[in-house]
Amino acid sequence: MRWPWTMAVGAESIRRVGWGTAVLLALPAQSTILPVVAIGGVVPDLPLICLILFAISHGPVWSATVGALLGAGLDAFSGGSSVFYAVVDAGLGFGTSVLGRVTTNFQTTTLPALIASGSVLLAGVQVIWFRPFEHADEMLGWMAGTLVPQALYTTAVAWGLYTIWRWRFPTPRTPQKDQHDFFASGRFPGSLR
Amino acid sequence: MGHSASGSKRVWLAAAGLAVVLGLLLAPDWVKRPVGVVGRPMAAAFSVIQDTFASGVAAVRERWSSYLALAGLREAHHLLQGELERMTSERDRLLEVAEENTRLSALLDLRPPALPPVRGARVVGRDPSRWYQSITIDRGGRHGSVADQGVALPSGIVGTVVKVFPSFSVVLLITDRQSAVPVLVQRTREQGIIEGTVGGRVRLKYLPPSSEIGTGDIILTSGLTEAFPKGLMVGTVTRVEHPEGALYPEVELAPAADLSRLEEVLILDPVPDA
Repeated sequence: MRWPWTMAVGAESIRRVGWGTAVLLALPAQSTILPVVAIGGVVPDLPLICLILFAISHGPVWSATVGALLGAGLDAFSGGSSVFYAVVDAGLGFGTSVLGRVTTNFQTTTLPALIASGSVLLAGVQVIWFRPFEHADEMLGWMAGTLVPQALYTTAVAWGLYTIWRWRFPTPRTPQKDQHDFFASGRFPGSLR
Repeated sequence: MGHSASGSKRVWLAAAGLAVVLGLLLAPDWVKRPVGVVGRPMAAAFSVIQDTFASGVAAVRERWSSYLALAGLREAHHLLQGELERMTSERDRLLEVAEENTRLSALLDLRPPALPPVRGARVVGRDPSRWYQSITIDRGGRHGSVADQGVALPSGIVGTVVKVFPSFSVVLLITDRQSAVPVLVQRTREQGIIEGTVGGRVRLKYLPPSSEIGTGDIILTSGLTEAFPKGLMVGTVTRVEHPEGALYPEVELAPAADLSRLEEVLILDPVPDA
């Protein structure tokens, strides 16, 4: 069943406006609303969720662009002074989009692994780049107290959001064909947008 | 043939993209800064929405805390009554000490330390990345904020302004690992530097190995940075260890200001003659 206004305006337009709104709201919501719903100081990573959900339903170029924009906003609002998040989020968007295209039978049950991997990967890149720990026990404490709970919380929220999104806007995809073409020829069918 | 040319073009494009990414990450800060300007329009757009969200969250929090305050009013009244009696007696004692201090200072011709003028600011957001410990406040360049200003609460110091936008600023908290504030131990007068950790704790470094610092010691700002004048409360020592072979003792402290519940803060303007 479709909502009447969806038919009148067009599902594609609604989808675009929806994604635009999500990208625009992710960062302000992360810095203002999410600290209120923190569990033991752990908050889900909304910009990461937004980026990964965008990337699995769009091409690598668009995903990298959205990643770079979200990352640039993160760089501006965070206490750091580099372009770290702009670069890393662009790469994460690109990689997730490519991975999403070659994942067989991509569906809600495989999403948690992708989100959790993205969350852990992002944290891992930060640890390698910033080298913040002076002792091994500090790093273990951070992994147990922050990294794992945050990855789980982020995954749970992303799964819920994706289930709702997919229920309203089922995305036509041919992942098996994509995978076959990719492994047969080393390239994706069609243009990479 | 055309197929292979297109493939080769893609490889070149990917290589160029990778080179730009590596160049950006490895470039020094003065190169990154102009690139970071790209994020400013994004930040300006986000800040409008952030302000709206922050007002909504503040309104809900206000109503909820008003309700909770009503519920605990009787108990709070008894607690405050006891506190008032204790503080009155403490005030009388301190007035006596202040009087004596004034007389002795006049005798020695000592100038009292100049206290900086302060401006209030509302906290509108916390760091959206998972890595830094910072807050966003609603005072920016057009309100007179500049980088490296100190930010504090009456209970203790909070952090330093690190980024200034026209309508808001980003404050790096003392619990961030990039933060460094020169301090001194009130009892022993030894000087060191506090730094944050990833876990959101504060560590006091570079004390002499023979330091007699102990749990419960008060840590104050030393005044060696323009951001904070001398004597502002920083925190209390919670753990001291002297590891074998280490150059200085490992000291952790609890910040005096509650950095997890910041709603309003004070920006310390530079002292005119400092």
